[in-house]
Amino acid sequence: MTAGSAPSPAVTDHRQSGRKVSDDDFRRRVRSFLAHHAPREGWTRDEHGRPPGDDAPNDVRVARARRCLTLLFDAGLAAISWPRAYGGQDLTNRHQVVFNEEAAAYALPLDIFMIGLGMCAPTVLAHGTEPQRSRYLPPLLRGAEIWCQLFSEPEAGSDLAGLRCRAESDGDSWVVSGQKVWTSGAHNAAFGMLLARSDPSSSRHGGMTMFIVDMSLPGIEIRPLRQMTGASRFSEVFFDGCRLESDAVLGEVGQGWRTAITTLMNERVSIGTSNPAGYGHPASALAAEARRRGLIEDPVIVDRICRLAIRERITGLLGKRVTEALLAGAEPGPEGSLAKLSGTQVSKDSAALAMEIVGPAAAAWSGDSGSAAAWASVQCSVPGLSIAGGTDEIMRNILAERVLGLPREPRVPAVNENGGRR
Amino acid sequence: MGLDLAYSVEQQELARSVDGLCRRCGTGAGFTDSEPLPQKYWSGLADLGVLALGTADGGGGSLEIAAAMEQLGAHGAPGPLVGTFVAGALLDPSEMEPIAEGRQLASVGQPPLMPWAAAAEVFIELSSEGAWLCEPATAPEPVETTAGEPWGRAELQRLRHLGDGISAAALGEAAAAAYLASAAGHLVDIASQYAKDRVQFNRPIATFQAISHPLASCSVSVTASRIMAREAASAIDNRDPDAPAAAARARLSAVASATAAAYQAHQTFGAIGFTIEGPVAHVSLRIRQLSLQPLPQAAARTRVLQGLGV
Repeated sequence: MTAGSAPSPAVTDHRQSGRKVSDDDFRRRVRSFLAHHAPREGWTRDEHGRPPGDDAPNDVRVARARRCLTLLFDAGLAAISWPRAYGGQDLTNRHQVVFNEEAAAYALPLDIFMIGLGMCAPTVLAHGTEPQRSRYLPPLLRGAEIWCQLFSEPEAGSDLAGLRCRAESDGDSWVVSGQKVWTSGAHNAAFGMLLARSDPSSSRHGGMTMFIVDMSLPGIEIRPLRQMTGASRFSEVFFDGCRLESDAVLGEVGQGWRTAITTLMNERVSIGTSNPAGYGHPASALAAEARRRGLIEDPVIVDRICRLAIRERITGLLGKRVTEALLAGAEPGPEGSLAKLSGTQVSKDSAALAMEIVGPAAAAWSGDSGSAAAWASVQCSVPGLSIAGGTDEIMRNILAERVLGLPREPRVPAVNENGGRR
Repeated sequence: MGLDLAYSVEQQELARSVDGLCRRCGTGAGFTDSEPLPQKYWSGLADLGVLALGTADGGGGSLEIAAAMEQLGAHGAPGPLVGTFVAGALLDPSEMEPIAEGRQLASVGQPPLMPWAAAAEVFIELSSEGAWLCEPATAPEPVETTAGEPWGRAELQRLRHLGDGISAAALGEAAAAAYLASAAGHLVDIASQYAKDRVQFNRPIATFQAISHPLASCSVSVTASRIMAREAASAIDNRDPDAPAAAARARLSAVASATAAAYQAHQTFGAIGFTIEGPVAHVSLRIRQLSLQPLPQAAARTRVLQGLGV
């Protein structure tokens, strides 16, 4: 979804400290690194904002991603705002933002690390013990170990608190059974962050615990699911008697929901600050295509391109607001939801406009130019954007409740087996 | 003068037969996994006389086509359907016979990117300028599409002028409109059922107005499109001079409502609607595919203007 995006500033509390390196010096270093490596490595966007090789087989994508992160690491440009103790550069969030600004012109193939870097690592940093941080953060930040997030279940989508995956205490261990779904990158992951129900007698939001799961353990089965795009980037994950030791608990037992909130807040920031061009077709690409096809005189097409260009800019600015709020030390708020909602709308508009301009070629996976698959790719990926990472409906609820202060819809209390209220 | 939109007994019979064929063949998600046009399904349509509809030999007209296309749309069924009906309106009976019998496929569109070209034997160029029977100068270069159809890129050589193509285009648009409106209606129906079954936050998600209201809005536009598709089919059969404009209106309306219905179905089903195995993706992709045929939407808009006397 976030094509060729750079890591977002982490929502962590070390962001205000850090080494003193001037923004300008840092920017120069980043710029020179990217100018040198990007053409050699092929980290360039096409006019659709797509990174090359996005449709490559999985092992090729993983290798490209690892190579990119290794090069960045060796140049001291990875894990920018992370503490030295875990392999980071001990710089500030502002430096990460500078990096992102320079990287926006390129397409760094870091997508497969986004869940780990953007969601799991900040959670481990915030809630992990020191042994956990030392063990897990360095290889995660270096790209040696890829992570996935094990939250959603068939019965728990937007209503995550309805999850049922069970972690039963057995002496010092935990035995996990249940099913997770829509787990992006599970097939590549060395570790997963699992939210499970550790105490079914507790309230809906209580009685959950977060675990760090070694994905190679017995009792875990991964079944890839095929998306409309043709790719299989997410999976079902079945747990059947998977045994975790007590050191797998991340945060406090029974406090899993609190831990999950950290993850979800970081996800919102990650999505909110991602490049809007990664969502659909940039207005500039559609304008160029319209010109190529002799449609640039069509006032209807021009009007729609202009509207798209405006909304694209708005989406970018909304993303900037998220970044600015973070840099100012604020807790991430609904700004990320606003940015996401704007972005999904833009992507839909761009997909519809592409069909209008490009015609039947919008349905074809190959064509006259190297970027031909961009049309078909956006057609197929757009429906997922308003669903993944928080649906449009949930985004609107957040805005209604937290920005406009409108009351929530009346809740329906759960009814337990005895017919009593929970 | 009433607007009679009900189908005749024979048209309903035909509809039931087409529906029955689709059910027996299992035209759902995964139907075209092993081949883009399963043989049993396509010969079944030929046997029912569907592929010959609108021709002198095959009998029937646009209303019969609409009746059949409504069933096919509800199942998200595959095949060069619009192209077949357009070919039927343009070709000689001897040329049309192998197509009507399901032995040859027709590729109808604007070169170089032609629908079903990689599997077709008969090529027709159809544009606002007219219609021509063509043959490819070289073997078409196969192009896979999002709906898994075997399209192709080919330079076509014109063999014979087939006329201005206006009534054939109208027939094709009316057929596409019937398919799209019905596919949209199917998505609204299954989304509504899912919303009743799916429980989140301790309640069926259909009880959230954020889910039920958009589906209700879709229902309005889908019903309107369905009516317009039938009106267009009637106009064509009655040789109404307004028929090309009616077909264009129906097509534009159906594309808009089907696109909106697909979006709302995706939203209602959530991630499961984003998987190939789920109930939405194959219909949604086919809606997108069909909304591009037989002519660009710009051509339809021109017809609508012409219908306004402009």
